[in-house]
Amino acid sequence: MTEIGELVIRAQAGDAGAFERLVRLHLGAAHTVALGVTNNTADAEDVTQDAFVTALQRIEDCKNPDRFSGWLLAIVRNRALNLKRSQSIRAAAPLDALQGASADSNPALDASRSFLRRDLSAALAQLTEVQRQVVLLHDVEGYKHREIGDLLGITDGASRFHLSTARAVLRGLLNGNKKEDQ
Amino acid sequence: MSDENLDFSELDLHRDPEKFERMVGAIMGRSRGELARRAAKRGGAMESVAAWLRPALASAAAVAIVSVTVLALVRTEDVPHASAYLPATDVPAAAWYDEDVSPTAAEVLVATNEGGR
Repeated sequence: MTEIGELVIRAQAGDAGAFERLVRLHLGAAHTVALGVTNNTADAEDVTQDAFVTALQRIEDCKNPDRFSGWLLAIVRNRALNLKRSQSIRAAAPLDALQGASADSNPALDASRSFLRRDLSAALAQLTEVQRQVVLLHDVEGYKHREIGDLLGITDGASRFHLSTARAVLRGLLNGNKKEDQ
Repeated sequence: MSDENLDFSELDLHRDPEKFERMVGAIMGRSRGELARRAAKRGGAMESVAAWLRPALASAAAVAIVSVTVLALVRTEDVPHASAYLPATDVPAAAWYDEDVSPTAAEVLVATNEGGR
């Protein structure tokens, strides 16, 4: 059994340390998946937290503890999709405006980051949901195309195609923004 | 179409330790009740097994003591020799039995005829 599998078994028995380790190992990926669906950091945070709590409550449903990661990320994705469906049309300004205060207190740096996030957010909003998820999972979390395919229910080839398309669209949009700023 | 990675570092949760820890804390806080319930459930199950195990072991030990005592008290010398159950004839079956020899068919025939007279 893998380390993940052993942690799952211990978490089932109420071992808080094991569950926290699972949270730390998967938080980044879960947040990225949620962000890919919602394109909103506040929603992504809520969805991620809800998904972990739900996962613990239903952890017996994870029939193969070694495959906990895929099982958890499927919960995250479903919750994010449900949230998105339940929301009425929402303004797409989201990532930067809702981002929490930065750890450093340099106003110039904060402003620069804020612009960067705003541009990135606006560009990501132009992608389809699957393109956004593929590019975030691949470029932020370092997932392989096979893993992305398993998670999203698409082929490796489709994942590669979406990644290339998404990067081209984003590059075009971000370069356009830079020219406008100049 | 370029396949170079774009810079998504601003969206990477791992690059914001403060937010990362805040989220871990929030999740663990919301999970505390469920974890405690699970730990208590497991503890309860173990206590039940322990409570059942102790009397079961005591009973098994008592049965073992009684069994050993009874076996020790049985007087094996009172049991008659197997040859005592053989029919009272002149057939030397007892001798064959004691010597642990297998008689030939001829010997059995002769002995039987002699015993029958």
